[in-house]
Amino acid sequence: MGVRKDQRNLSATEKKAFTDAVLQLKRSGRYDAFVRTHNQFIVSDSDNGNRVGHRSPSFLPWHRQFLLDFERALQAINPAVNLPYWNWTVDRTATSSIWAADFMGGNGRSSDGQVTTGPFAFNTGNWTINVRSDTRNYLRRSLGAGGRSLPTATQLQTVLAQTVYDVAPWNSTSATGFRNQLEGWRGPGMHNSVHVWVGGDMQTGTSPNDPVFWLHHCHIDKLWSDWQRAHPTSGYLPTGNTTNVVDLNDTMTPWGTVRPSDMLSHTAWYTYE
Amino acid sequence: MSNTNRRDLLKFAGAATVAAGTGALIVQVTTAAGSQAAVDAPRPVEDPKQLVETYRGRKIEIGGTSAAQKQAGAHHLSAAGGTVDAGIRIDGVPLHVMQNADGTYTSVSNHYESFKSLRAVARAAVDELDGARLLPLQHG
Repeated sequence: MGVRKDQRNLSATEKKAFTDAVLQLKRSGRYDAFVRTHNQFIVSDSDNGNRVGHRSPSFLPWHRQFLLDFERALQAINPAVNLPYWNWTVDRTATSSIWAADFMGGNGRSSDGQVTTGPFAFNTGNWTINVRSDTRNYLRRSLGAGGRSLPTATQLQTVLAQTVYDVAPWNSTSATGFRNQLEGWRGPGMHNSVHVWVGGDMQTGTSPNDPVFWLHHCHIDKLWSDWQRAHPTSGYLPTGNTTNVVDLNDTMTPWGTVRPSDMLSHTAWYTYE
Repeated sequence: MSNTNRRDLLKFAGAATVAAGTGALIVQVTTAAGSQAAVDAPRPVEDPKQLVETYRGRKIEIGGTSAAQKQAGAHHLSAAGGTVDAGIRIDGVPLHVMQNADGTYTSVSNHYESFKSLRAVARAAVDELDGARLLPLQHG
């Protein structure tokens, strides 16, 4: 069983094993399939229509399965690799070690946002953005542009203090509930604001083009687990007969077999350190 | 994001009084009725459904009935809270825009933010594109 670690605690060897596996997945073409799937869901998930991956209760179980698929694809390349997570309440500047050349690489340059350092820089020849909505085929970032800040630990505490998993209307306008506060359409921003803080590819529908996507969502996945532990009697909602929404025992696309009720505990597959 | 080179040319097809702005921008709006309003608008008073403007050197079109827009709109539902046939094009290429249940908008270029007007979501996409061209919508 895998152990998912805080990326700040990874050894140099662990960092290289992770980025090497990601690069190999990219070379195989399988990486881009994950980007394509994510984009297909994000443009079709809508507040008053069918919604599975985003702006809906199944945001958390959908991404848990999506990350599991990705982690297993990496492990098929190197069984020692596990997804690390980025705790942005702690590592919250553009000079944090996550952005060093031995891991995610750094900020985009000012002229065009292009990342020019690290294993995913376009100039390495190993990281061309193929699934994209505009002409730029290089990885871009604009860390903290416009004076934005990452969510703070204090803000996170208010989100973890939510006592109910989700509330009607089960979309981006749900005023309270853990899911929408964590997704960040309401409350202090959280998940959404991290995408915007990184900027570049991360703020688009094809956000998995930036490998930091996986580290960000691994943290989101851990926070779901943390919240469950703090609220052991608060289960997944809704539990049945909700139009356009994945109820507890409904199956989720694209898998067709995976239900939120299958994803409520991760301990059969991995633990968090 | 710098707006220092921004030049706005506004042409409104409708006669409605329109006042919309983004952030702290002061926008001079000339309506078809000939009145002028200086707007420091945190919220749009009314959202233009038809608009052609040049923003940072890019042509933004909202609404209209061109064949290209109809084709793009074929994929788009117009109910609030769904993908919206806003007919937004940037230099002629459709921008995928979704209307949120609270009436705000989100586009494929800025998918983790909400914008209060079609014009604001279009301008944000121009900012994000930073000179790059949109590619035609990909489906399926």
